[in-house]
Amino acid sequence: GNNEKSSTGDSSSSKDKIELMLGSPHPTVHHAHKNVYLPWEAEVEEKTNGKVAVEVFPGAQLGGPDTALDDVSSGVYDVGLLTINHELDTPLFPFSIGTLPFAFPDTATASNALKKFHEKHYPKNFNKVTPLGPFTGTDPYILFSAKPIEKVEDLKGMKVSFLGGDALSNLITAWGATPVSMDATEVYQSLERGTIDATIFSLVGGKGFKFHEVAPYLVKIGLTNVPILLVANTSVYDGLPDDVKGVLENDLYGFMPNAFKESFINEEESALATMEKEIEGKGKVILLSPEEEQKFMAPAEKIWDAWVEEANSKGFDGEQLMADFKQILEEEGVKLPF
Amino acid sequence: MSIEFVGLLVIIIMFILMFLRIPIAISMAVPSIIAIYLLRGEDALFGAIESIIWSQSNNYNLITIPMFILMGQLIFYSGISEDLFTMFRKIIGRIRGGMALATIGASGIFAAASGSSLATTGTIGVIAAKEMLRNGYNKPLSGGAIAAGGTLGILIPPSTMFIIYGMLTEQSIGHLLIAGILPGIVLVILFMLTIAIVTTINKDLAPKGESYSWKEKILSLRHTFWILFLFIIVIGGMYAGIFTPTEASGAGAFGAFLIALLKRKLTLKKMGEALAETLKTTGFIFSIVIGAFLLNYLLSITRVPLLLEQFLTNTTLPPMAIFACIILMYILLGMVMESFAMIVVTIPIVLPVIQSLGFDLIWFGVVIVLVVEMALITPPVGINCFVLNGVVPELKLEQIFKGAFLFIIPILVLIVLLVMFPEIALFLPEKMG
Amino acid sequence: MIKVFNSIRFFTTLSKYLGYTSLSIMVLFLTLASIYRTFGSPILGDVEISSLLMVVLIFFALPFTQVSDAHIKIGLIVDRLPQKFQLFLDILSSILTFFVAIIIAVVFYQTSMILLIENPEFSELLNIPLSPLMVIIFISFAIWALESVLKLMEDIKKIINSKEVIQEQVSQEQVVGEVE
Ligand code: NA
Ligand code: NA
Repeated sequence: GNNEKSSTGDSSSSKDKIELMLGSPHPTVHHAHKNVYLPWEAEVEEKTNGKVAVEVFPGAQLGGPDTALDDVSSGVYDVGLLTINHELDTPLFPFSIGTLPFAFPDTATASNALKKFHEKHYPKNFNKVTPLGPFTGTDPYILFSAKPIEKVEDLKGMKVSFLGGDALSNLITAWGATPVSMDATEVYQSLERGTIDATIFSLVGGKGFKFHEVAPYLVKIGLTNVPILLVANTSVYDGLPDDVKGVLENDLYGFMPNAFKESFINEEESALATMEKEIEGKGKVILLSPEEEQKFMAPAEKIWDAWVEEANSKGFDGEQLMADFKQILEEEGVKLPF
Repeated sequence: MSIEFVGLLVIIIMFILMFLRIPIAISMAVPSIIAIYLLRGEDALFGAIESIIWSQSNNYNLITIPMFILMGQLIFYSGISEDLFTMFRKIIGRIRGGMALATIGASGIFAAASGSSLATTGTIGVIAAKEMLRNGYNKPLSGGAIAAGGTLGILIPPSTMFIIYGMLTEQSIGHLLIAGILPGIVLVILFMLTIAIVTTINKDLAPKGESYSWKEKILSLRHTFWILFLFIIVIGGMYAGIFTPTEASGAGAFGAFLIALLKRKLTLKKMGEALAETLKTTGFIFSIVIGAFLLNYLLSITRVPLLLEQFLTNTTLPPMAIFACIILMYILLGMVMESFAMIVVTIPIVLPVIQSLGFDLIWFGVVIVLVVEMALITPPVGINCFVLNGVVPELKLEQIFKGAFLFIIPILVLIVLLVMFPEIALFLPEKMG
Repeated sequence: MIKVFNSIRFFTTLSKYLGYTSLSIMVLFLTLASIYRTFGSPILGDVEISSLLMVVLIFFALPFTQVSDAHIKIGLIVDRLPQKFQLFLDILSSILTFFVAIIIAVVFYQTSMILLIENPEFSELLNIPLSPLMVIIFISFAIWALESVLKLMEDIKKIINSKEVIQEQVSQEQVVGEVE
């Protein structure tokens, strides 16, 4: 890539100003737009004394999350957000360990643990893009159900939709339910019309889609998580002056993960409060008893083992990655039943 | 040269190429590709092309487009569109302008089985034009009624335009489709009123037709059976939770196939023609979608949307005045832009403004489909009129445009009605949700 | 020359029939997927399969759209111009179409090669390899590009022929004049 062409800045009026195009998958109404991207934009400009101007392009207008890695690495835009479920065939695969069922009970744990895992296992020689901070987590995925669920047995015979890979479908099957793959845009109507009985969805995202209106039983359990990573186009990054790099590597290294963490935690609380109020009399937020929780979690052991196998088959040291991950979780106070 | 100017230049070149009879998709792609290359370099151009083509084709929500087009084709080859026209002719053909009314009625019902305005115009057009011209109907009135009736194809569900809109705005496609039902019925009535009024004022436009006995009239109602049957499968199946909206489109196409078989109208040749038409339409729609997304990316990086958005949000006008500006903008754009391209390019720009003004996005979807209906029949770029001219060359393009212009009024009236009574669009989806 | 023409048309026709097939499979698959789920045994990954099938469908459709001359265009002005001028604009149209199609073909040639050789990619749930789809997209645009070259040559031929016709007319007039 040619650095001159990497930024579409108006070169005549702002010669020394470096412009970075940040392609965000989130629309302007998404909490991350206000709480993460815009503050980051302001921080970068302030900390570099106006040397760098960031422009946020919201709502995937420059490209969607499924093509983010290629988009950033080819310079479709300069800075973007990778979501791990679209990067499974890349050297970033080890971070899909964060999607394993029940790894993270909450957003804070996800963020902290992924940061530690990042520091230990980020592939140093992967220079397709340059990370601008560590991997971080999103809000936990929970179960939205049209019928009450207190025990695993309640799931028997239910049709449960999910997004993503086979980890969740295997889990759903192990619970005695039937996994249904379904596009996110069709879940609401399918819950409403009984096409499916429940769905696994992110807590905040599910509130956005108003799933609780049609599936008012929310089983609050950390089913999965989607690790995300902010990255820059490598040649654009390498072309930055040293002081700017310094700002990005030191001052702002933890900014985005923290902003995401706080934004998700706040949003999660308010989403839960809103939904709890709106489902009053129709359903409820269900917290499983510790014994029942164990039963929900038990089948996940096989899925964790399968991940190790998959990592090995992709040429990573699956056992080592898993051992390190489990140790980090222990440090974070997560108790796994296996 | 300022960066925004590059964006505007690309738009100008696009229009020049369009009017030089270069395919719309190519007219959008050529200046976009060159400008992306100049602004961002080869790697980014290649990256953008790859991402856009992959994400727009590997897209579950767009499957409904070929499915609903195929459904309409199969219904046409089953002879159902002809039966529908005959039915309306028998029932209201005796009235002055009755066959023009029959055209609107048949289009409205055919629209319930076809997702595309072009398909509706093309299929009803062949039969309706033949009958009207033989009976000495005024040519502009005939052409206008067919072209306008055809636009119902995207308002009455199923609808490819609602699907594209739903995909761009992340609104429930199921709710959007349901939202089109009542406005569709109202527009049928408004179109018919328009015809009734002009044929009353100017009796030379349309003669009276032959009259049929009540028995014949009632018997002819049986022709709606298959369409109703299909409508019940698609909408009913969705309502009962058997199909998701996307699956309903596939099941609808399958149902239309069975109907064609049952009516013993389906030869291998006709099946081939139905498939061929569907492929062709799918091909041109997706090439336009790809061109429009390339243009979109270029416009984004040249900040043109931002300019427009700032203009719209920084005005101190009241929300309704801004809304009126947006509608006016769409009427003007709709004259010169192809409808899919117009929607894909403009919705991402307009959407934040509409959201900040607090308008309901399902309701706005119905409004957008109405402005697209206008776009389809306004000169110089009115694709419905082109299609009609293509299938019925006896109707000159000028005559069709002249006649279609009359039907802009009822569409505008419906937009005003929607502003005054949003329930026309929102009652059914709210009832459902 | 005719051989080249025939082999390009062969691929276009082939892609048409493959398009028919994928369209029919899509109808059946969507219908079956909903029936299976209604009766309690959903097809896992049906969403993924139909999305990938959609890619196949679209890109088998494109060459056929080109050869049927079904791309939407606006003839409002050009239709009224002299025949010869129209031919020149058609030639411009073919050149621009070739330009777009060949660039996209090159992009997907590169992508196909990367996916086939260096770094295979798979669909998320069913692990379907994506490289064949990239190859289909490449072929689709390559055929589209070739078809536009064929169209270009036809139009050039027409122009040359029309010149010959005019020249013939001129020489006939000369003959007539000489006789007179
Ligand atoms: Na329709
Ligand atoms: Na128009």
